[in-house]
Amino acid sequence: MSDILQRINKIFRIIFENENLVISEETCADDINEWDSLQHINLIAMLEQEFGIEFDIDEIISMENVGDMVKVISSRCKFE
Amino acid sequence: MEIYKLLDYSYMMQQKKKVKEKFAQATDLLEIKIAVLCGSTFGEVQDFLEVFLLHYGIKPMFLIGEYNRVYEEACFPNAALKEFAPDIILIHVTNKNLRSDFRCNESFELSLYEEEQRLLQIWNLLEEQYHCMIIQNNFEYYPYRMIGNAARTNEDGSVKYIDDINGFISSYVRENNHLYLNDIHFLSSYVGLTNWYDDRMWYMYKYPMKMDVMPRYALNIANIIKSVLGKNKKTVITDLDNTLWGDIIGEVGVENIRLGYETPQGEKFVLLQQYLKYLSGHGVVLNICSKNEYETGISGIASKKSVLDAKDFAVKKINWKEKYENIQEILEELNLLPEAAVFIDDSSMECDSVRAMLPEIAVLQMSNMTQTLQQMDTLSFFELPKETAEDKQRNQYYRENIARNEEKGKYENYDDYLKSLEMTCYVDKARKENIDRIVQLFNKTNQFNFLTRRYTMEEVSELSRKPDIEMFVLELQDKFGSNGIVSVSIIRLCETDAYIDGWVMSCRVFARGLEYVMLELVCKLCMERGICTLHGYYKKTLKNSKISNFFGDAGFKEERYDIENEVHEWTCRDIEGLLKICKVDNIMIMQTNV
Repeated sequence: MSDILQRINKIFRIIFENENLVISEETCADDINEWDSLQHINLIAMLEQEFGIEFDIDEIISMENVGDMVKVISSRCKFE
Repeated sequence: MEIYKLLDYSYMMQQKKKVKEKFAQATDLLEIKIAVLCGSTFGEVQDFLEVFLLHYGIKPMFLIGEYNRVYEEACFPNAALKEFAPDIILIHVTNKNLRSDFRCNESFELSLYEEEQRLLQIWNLLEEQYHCMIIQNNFEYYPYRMIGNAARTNEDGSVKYIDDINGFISSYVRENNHLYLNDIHFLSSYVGLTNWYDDRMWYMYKYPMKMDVMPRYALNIANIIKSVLGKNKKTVITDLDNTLWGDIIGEVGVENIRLGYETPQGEKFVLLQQYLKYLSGHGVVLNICSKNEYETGISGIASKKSVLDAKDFAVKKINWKEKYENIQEILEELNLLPEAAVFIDDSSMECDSVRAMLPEIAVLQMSNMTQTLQQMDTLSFFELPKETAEDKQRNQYYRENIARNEEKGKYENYDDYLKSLEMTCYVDKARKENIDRIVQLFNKTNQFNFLTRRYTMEEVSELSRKPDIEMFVLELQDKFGSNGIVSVSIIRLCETDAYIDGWVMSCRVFARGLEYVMLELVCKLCMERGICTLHGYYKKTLKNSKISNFFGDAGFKEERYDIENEVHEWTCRDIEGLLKICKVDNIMIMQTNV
């Protein structure tokens, strides 16, 4: 698992209150029951804190699965 | 402090489930129904609010209104809200809900007037329909001010607009007992407008503020609610050296302690002393717990540099005993429980030992003055609800109690001491003038409270109008002054039976015999009305074990135990016999004539 994916996984475990949750780049809202619009905002806010970045609206809307999140985050975090 | 850490959004997200599970197990949670009228998404705030309320021993049930339907849900028939029968209605609005067309035309005055009328209509209709407490947000400044500094002074300025509306809300809250202010104007200034707004959250989800700010917003609401429900702290117990002044007075001498405006190190202690002095003026009882020689410690307080003086403190424990022992003695003298106290000390060792011995006390370790004050302030230990006459008097009462305790030392026989107090009890009914205090007594009293049932103002005034209900409201006076209204009972009469449905007495007047005055009054009422059987009830909580066998000691028989409601029922069929037991010689009884 890449570093970014691992860190995203950590956030998912907090938000969805499940210590054993394992996600992949294909994971999307259909795979996790509690992943509704309310939790999506929490995901975004926690990811922003974790990676120290701020997404713009287009990016937030485009993030339909975990792979999209990895893509956006790695394009923003040039150190990857 | 755990609750303070929860202000951090990401810590909150990680901990909220655990915290909820932990507190949900508590047995004596106070249940409360909160309806939220939403100008914007309430969402996550609900969760955060629940976490903070649980921290305060309050379990909320929510009814969340539709997005942006505040006016409609408040002002038109609302069956869901009626059925929910809220204890509290929270009006969750921000400047996003204000008319902002004053910016485009000359309708500033009109916009303002319409907004004020709309608020008035909402408050009045809610009050008429639901008779409950209403929490109203005021408004944060807009992030932009198109005409710069003139926005505050110009007739159509956007800063002036917010100031005017907020001023209108403040003055209305001051005049109306059921309306409370949630000051988001302060909150947004405190965190800074640039940290308050998140346009993306508004455009996408209709959240009016950043996620990071929401825990703080929720805590501010929780603080209002806990203060109204009597969950405030009541007393501060403070250390001296390196807490009220810099350095150790026993070593450097009173002339060299750091306190006052002359040195940068001394100035910060002035700030804390002023903070405490202000609290003391609003009924918070201050005490000292310091390891020092008594005379040495007192000399610091007595020094001209000190803002606080010896008179500002109720109990002064300045000796070499363990701090937790001194604290226990202080609480005993004040008749307060540890959970009502805040302890301030600079030593981490002392703080840890007090935490370990008295886990219910809030311990503030003074490592850094700014942080300590911020914590104390944000947690709002002493959030002032609507101030009753009793609140303003409280310090006076405690001071008089200290004098009484000193008097007690002079008598070998407790009865002689009681006689010497020259007590008079004034008996009154529930009236408009004393209803605030009655509600407060029922909601704040934990130790001498038989059923720990909480009442709203509306419930009490309804009870007072019922023909089958008698209420006794007792004020106790003695040679040291008046203790104010300190005991209330609610007696329900039904043919040949009378039921003590509610009975509370303030811890301020324990062990004075006033409980027997109350029983005497009840007995006399029973005899007047031809009642044969008097019923008393007791429901055990963590705090009222003191009175678990009160009715038994008074000669009542335990009739039955209602397992479902955990209520013991006691009965007395010999009212004349009971009256004989209740004869109290040391208290004169006077009827208040209205």
